[in-house]
Amino acid sequence: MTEDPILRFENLGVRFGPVDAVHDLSFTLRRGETAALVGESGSGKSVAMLAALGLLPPSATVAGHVFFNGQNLIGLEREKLDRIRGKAITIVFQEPQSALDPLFTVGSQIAAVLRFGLKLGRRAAAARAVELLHEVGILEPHRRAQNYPHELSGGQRQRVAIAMAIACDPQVLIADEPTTALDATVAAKILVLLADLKSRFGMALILISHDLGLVGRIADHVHVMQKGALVESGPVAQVTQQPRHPYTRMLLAAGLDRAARPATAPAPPLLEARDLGVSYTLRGAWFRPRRFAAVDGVCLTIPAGQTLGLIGESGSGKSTLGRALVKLEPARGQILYDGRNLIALSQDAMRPLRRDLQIVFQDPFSSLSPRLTVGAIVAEGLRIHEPALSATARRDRAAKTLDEVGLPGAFIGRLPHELSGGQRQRVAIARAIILQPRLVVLDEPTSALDRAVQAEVLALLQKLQDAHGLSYLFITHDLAVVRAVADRIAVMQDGRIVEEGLAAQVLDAPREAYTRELVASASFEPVNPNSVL
Amino acid sequence: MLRLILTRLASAIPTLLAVVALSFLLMRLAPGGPFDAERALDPKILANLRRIYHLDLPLPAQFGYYLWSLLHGDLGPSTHWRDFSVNDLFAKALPISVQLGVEAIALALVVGITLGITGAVWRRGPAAFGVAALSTFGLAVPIFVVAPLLQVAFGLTLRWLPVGGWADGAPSHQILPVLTLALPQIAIVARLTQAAMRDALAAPHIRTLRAFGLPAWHINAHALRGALLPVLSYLGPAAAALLTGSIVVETIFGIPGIGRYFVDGALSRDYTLVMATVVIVGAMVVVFNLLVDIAYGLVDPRVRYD
Repeated sequence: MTEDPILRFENLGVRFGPVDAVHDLSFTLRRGETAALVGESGSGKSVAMLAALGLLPPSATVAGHVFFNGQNLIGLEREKLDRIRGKAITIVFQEPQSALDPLFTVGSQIAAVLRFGLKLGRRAAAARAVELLHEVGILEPHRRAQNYPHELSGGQRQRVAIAMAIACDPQVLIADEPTTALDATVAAKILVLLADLKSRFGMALILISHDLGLVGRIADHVHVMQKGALVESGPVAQVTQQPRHPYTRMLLAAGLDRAARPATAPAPPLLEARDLGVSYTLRGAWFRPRRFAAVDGVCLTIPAGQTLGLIGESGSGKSTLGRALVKLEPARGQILYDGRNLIALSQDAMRPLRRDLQIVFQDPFSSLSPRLTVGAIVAEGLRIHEPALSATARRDRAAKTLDEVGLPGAFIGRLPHELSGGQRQRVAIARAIILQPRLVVLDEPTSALDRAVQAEVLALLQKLQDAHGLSYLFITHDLAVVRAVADRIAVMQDGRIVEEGLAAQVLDAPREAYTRELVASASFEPVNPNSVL
Repeated sequence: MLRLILTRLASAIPTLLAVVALSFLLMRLAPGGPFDAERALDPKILANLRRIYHLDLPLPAQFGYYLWSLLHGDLGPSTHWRDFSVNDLFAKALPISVQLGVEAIALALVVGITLGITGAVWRRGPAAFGVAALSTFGLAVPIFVVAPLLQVAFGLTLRWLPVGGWADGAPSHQILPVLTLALPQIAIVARLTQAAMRDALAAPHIRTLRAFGLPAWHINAHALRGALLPVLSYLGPAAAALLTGSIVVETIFGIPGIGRYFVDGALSRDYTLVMATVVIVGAMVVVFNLLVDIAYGLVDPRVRYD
């Protein structure tokens, strides 16, 4: 790494009307350096990068300077900017699904960049696009180039986006949360790819992320942003080991592996699944509907008063299993609860049992009715399960439950859109516990939340478990979270449970290769760019 | 793709059958019959007529007769224009209506999409305002107001174009009716394109294109492809409606298309004529929706069939 600056942010400010999105941001990126820009959602990281590339909507007011090789990019006219962006400075966005045009093949989208950026001819551009796909580790690049984005997996789509970004041999690559939308094992591979390309192409890299632990693995410098301003900058070792600012310390604490829960005594089973299967019929050929087994021969025991963590990547069937266990999904096999097999029960016979088995969903934005007040949402279950209660009594119970989940009484009349993500998830939890259930299925309850909020919600769940003796099935893809909450852990892959055991045992001494891969991709060891892709 | 076409055509048969059966029943339920007149006919003649047209048979048998001839491509004799079969009438009138409809749709697409793009790309300023004004005018002012205004302006005052008549489809006779037919369609297509194009231009993948410094025309071309999908969906039913003639436009401009048979047939209880228009409109709707679905698959790979 030389000391030669390539991109310099000087007092960059971005306002959206009265909202100060970025405030007085200054830092320098040197040639060949990897800088990480870290902060929680809304801290202004992405906005600052979009401002540098002139990609903000007209409603934004941008002040300050961003110098690229001595030229100020802010306010640069479009023709001149277009000679720089996409060629010398390129960007990879967070969501590879929406960042690519669904109506064009990935090959043609890469080729378009080459045709306009390097003035290649049609045929040369198409050939080079295939080479680039190979370069970013896509197998069978000839065939893949003809695919549309929806025909590729999330990881492959992100590789395509990276191929577009390196097409014109850029000097600076900005990666905006490039791995956030991806599974842990895929994310690790993408990170390795970026580190590898950086050294091969001699680019400087700006990595935007909310996860300090993750970017710490490949960054040289870390810049921490909070509420639009830079709060701490420095070499990665210094920032991660001797953080000066409390916000950095909070991010680190939230991102780091916490000690596993103390081992608990074995508990009697509350609910037991035997040979549980859920399958869907795919629309396929005529007369030959294809069956897809989302959950396949699962045997699972949820210990009373404890937390069973269910981990696995997206698509492994975790959520389907969680819904099937509380009979929200038609399933085969047996679910034994209270000496009865839930699968055999009719909907009517099941109804009284439903109050014992509650569920909290991942997305607190879509799982609450936008037209009901918080009080009505929380009290709704009481109308069915305790019909004798008067409206006043229901309201009192709702207020008490809201208080228990740490929401002020005034929230009872509010509508979901007036609440933050964390507050909504508290409402969803209140809706589940107001019926005094015995089991709560928590389906990624903290995945949509920022780290700091995540910690608060986890603490709340712990408190409720201790107070009411609740059993949890905690579904997550986040190993740091599961380590903090689970007594036992089950690992799911392709619809089957591949490993189950005490939390510490599964995470620290995994038996199965798949579990080892999961654990390894979530660890915080530095990535070796020379390791195999 | 072939499977889609076959499945759709197969499912169209029960649909059309239901449409035919229902309108058959509704027509018979309407009071009066094809031979009712101010002066009642001699009962003997009436009975004779009813026998010739199979109207003396019980309803199911009448329906059976009708279906049988329909399957042979025979739409039946007209009871109102008694020297003509419905096939004769439509053979003359349908091509005229179809020609007008095709021209109107083509005009609506070309002008509407152009206006829509203009309004979306230059969203602030006179262009967007002009598009908004024109499309509101096109939607708000009914064609029976537009048509006479055009006749007065271009036919009577300026004397550039004929006021009406068909003259075997001379081009000068087509301009005003096509313009009148197309105007509301232009407004709808322009609005649909503009709204869809605005959404498309705000999509994240368009931001990707801007981030890669691609030229504006290339970016707009990408956005347009996505923006055409809602226009396509609208086009199916719109095409079926336009091609089967517009009673208002054909009446005002005195054009011998099939539009007038809709009303004349219904008023004079010309069972076969009404049934024929229903069958033709139904078949057109089925065919155009199928065409739209095929086009959809060509534009959007995510809904490609198979």
